[in-house]
Amino acid sequence: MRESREYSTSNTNSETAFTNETKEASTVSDGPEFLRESTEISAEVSGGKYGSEVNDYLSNTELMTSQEIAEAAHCETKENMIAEHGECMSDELKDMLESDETRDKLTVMSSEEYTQVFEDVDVNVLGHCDFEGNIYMKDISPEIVKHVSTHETMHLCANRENYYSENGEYVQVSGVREITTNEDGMISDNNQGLNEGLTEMYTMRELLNRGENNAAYLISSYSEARMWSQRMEKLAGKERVEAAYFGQDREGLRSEFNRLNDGNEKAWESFSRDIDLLEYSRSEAEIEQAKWCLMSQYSTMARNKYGIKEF
Amino acid sequence: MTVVRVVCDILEKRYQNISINDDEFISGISQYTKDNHLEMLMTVNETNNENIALVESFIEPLLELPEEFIVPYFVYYDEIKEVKKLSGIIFDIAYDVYKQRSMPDKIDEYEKRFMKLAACLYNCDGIRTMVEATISETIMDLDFAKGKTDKFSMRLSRRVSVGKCPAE
Repeated sequence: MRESREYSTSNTNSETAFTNETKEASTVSDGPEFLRESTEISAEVSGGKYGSEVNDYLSNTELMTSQEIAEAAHCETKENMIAEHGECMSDELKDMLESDETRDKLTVMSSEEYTQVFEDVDVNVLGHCDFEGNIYMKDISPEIVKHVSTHETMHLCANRENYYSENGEYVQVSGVREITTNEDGMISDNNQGLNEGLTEMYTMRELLNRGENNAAYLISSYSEARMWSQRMEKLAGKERVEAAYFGQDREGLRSEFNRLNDGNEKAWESFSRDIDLLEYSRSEAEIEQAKWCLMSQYSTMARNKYGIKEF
Repeated sequence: MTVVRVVCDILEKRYQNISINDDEFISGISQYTKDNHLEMLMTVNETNNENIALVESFIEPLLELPEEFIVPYFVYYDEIKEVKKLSGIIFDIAYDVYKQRSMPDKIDEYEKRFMKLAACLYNCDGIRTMVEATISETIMDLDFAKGKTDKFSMRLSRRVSVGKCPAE
């Protein structure tokens, strides 16, 4: 099974294109948002709060190779996530993140080379992270590389587990996402959209904390999943969300979410499914229904959270 | 107080340079509140402050975006929505072509409408980063549907690969 936290890109080659600028579109392949190369991307970085050495490093990105830019973003992200969320992380995860080996597993390559090396990957994929923690990405632009590297590294910082459940199902966990394969090979993929939303929420925060506003806002600024992740975090609590995403306490988040929904035990599943519909469905009716359900849940949760009684 | 008024007040308080009297801006806010069922957060049994707090809490993630994103987001709300709708229709047509079903006669009409809107949005700085990938993918789908290329857009390659393996 191929792990595909991918960003992707594609040339349009369209006769109907209305601009002469390069048209490379990209997306997190298992997520809702498309990424897009800007033809006028500045590599200027405003520095940040993480020490002069790193600031010097980042403020000279115009002199850096894409590989160096990706590695700088990767290392900064790891360092900051350990500092901010390390208490939730397992020792195994922290050990892995503290190791320099993860940087050695990060490779930026030309689009041509990427396509040649990963023949089985869709032609328009921009990069991916496999289950061994190897991150590969195409050299598109400095800002895209920063965002992609931060996003992929965020996935790496999220809790990862593989185990067999009591009933013999093989479970793969990444953040809040759970992929379950039963003995007959049937696959159940849960919390996909929500996991992408959370990953992008933490990615945006990390980029903005580093002063990388261009890289942050160039991509996926209006992700519905990210915004719903933020709303959920505000209602269910920052600590519970980080414990679920970076740690192994997904149940704590689920039960608090359900409690705020008047104890409805199906509330979390419903929320997760509606986020997936919002992001991946092409049916207007389905999306409309999902939005109604999400707002209905939000209304209940917010009133319970803030002690506002609806009569 | 209507939910549209509440959103306007919140935006006015948050952003100093927003011109709340702009008809297109208010129209976009109105459509946004309708699409997201924000009226659910406004009940007569609650105080104005409680209603406002609930609405503000909901739109908070949007308000974290820079002002240059917020204004065009509402001003061009209808156009963005229409582009996404047309993009979905064109995507379905491309999939039908892949499945060797017949291509509807309306493809040229959809293309014309889509490209006109896309050109408008693509030239708006605040909106461009939000829609350009959708536009690019849709152009690929258009080309595929019309037989100009055999390359799949990313979303089309995902749809035709459904069931092969889970993404992750």
